[in-house]
Amino acid sequence: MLNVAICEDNLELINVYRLIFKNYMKDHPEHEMRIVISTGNPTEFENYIKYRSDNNDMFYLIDIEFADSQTKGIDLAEEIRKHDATAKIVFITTHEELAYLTFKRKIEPLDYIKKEDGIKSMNDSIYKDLDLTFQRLHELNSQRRKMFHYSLGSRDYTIDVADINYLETSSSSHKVFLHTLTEITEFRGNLNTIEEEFASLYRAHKSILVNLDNIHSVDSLNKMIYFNDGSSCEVSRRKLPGLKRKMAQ
Amino acid sequence: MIYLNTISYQMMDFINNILFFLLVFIIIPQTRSKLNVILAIVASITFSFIDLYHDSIGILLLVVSYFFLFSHYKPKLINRVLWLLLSIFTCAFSQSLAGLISMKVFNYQQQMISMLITNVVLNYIFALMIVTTGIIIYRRLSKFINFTDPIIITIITSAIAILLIGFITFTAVSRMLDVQLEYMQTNVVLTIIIFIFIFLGTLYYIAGYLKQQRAIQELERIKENNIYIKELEENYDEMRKFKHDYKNLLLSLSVILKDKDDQHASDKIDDILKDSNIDIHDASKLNNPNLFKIKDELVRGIIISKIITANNENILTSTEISPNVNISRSYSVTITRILGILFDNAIEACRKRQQPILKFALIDEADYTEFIILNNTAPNTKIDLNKIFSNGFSTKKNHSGIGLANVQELVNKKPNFFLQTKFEDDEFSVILTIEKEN
Repeated sequence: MLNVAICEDNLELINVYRLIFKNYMKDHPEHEMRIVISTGNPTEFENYIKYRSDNNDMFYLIDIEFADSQTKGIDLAEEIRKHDATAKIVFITTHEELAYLTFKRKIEPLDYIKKEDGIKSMNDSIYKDLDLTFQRLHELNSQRRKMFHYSLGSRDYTIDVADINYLETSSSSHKVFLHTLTEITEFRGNLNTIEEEFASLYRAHKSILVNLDNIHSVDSLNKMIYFNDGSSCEVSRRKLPGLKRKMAQ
Repeated sequence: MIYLNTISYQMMDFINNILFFLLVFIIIPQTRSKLNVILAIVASITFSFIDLYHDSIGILLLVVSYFFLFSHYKPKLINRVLWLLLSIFTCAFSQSLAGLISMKVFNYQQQMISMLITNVVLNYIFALMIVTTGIIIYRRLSKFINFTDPIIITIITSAIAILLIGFITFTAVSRMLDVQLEYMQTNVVLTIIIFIFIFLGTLYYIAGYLKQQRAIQELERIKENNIYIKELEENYDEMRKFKHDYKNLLLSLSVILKDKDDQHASDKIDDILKDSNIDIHDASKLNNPNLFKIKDELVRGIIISKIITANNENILTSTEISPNVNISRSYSVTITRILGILFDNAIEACRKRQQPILKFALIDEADYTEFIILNNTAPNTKIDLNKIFSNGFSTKKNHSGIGLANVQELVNKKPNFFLQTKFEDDEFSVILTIEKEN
């Protein structure tokens, strides 16, 4: 069951959104979903976030600016994230209110829908976002993906282990460098605890943990590991046999 | 003999009185009028007679008559006092100096006439010299000092008053003791020395006062700037709210129209909604008031200058900045260096794109600060994130590629600096996270 929650201060638009969701339900009878709250009052919405009783998956549709309230959409979204790391959040707002980078970093929303694009386009976007939400929920339920967590400046971040190529520590600082398909990120931590937690990560070097699932080939002569995306890292002579054994499994 | 004596003394007195008025007319050109000239001559003659019987009462009468000169021109009282003091002092001083010299040169008993004439001539020469010098100095100094400031006028007036009182007291004492001639020399020399000291002292005092004034003005300016920024911010907020409302209204209007099946009208509304010309946001990317409220000058400076550079290169920029960002002074230089390199890289990289975009965000939270720089890249660019940090690799052809390696080095030196580099969907972003120390 997917719970849909809407916060928008223009009552006519609320009705438009409700209609879009109802149509989606009609078109996709296989998905279980319902609208649990649709309000123009951010305080009421905040109370729902704090005190909701069920454990259903959530889909939030939030406006950013509320004319009669000090509370902003981003405050609501932060409150949501505090309670629910996996909730799907979609901002629906006008172009100039969108602090795009800030929202992306702090909230990791599923989508931003711009009111400027008109009702038709908003309708399409909501359909697309719901499709994506159900697809992700399905993936999550069917194969229980392993997620890798790290924290930076009091915030927690999550990344799919399947995206990791390797992790590396620097000798000078207590920082771990995480190399994934699309990014390199540093955080405070140590390889030993990470190695214990994830079976698919192999200690290929004193300071390197590699993801066995993403290795393309191993160059024994030059003691290098090549990943599927073309990137590479070192492997120590001592660890080479173990690595080959693991990969053969 | 006595008769001649009286006549010549009266003449001299008259000439000296005239000198006083002459000085007044030189110092205050506005008082020059036919009426005042007549007044001056009449007063000088009258007072020279009175002076014959009541010694030194003439000077008081001069002072009184001085104030009658301001029948047309009406300056502030303090100015009148200052000019009066200046005239009296010049008069008295030049008279002493002239008297001293003429008595040294000529014998008081035998060459009285020549002595008196010399005395008068020298008196005029000295007085005019002093006044001319004074006016020249005044003109030079008025480039640096605002002489209309009431406090500065008061300072100068008090200084001259002290000088004059000293001079008169000294003269009076020597006259009482009947040693006027012997003391005259000492008196003149002393007055000159005191004058120099008071002159320098006054200048120092005025300089200090001006410095203080400037500091106060600077503070005022900062206060006004802050008020201006605040107003700007409020306007900006108002504008945003207004735009939010009108777009909402347009949207609901389009819903109503759709129900009525008026395709033309609803298309029109869609066009208005999409019209980016209405967006003030695009007018100037520097109108983000939070940008100017970043407390660190270095960091604020590099952000503003790089955004301007990007704008000048026709790159579409946007800034998102938390209100009242506070940056620890000890990080300011490192952050500025890192941002400088990251901005340069971003500007360089997105220029290859048809529509270059550069986005910057500064997120300030209780326990961390994040700087995000994002740029789009030419379509289908391939960047190997692992390689861009090693020295020598860069997507730029004529570039050393030392940039990001330098950034990494700077970040490595700080245990609480963390870097995230991301390349996805033709967008390259770097996030610098700084954990605050508790």
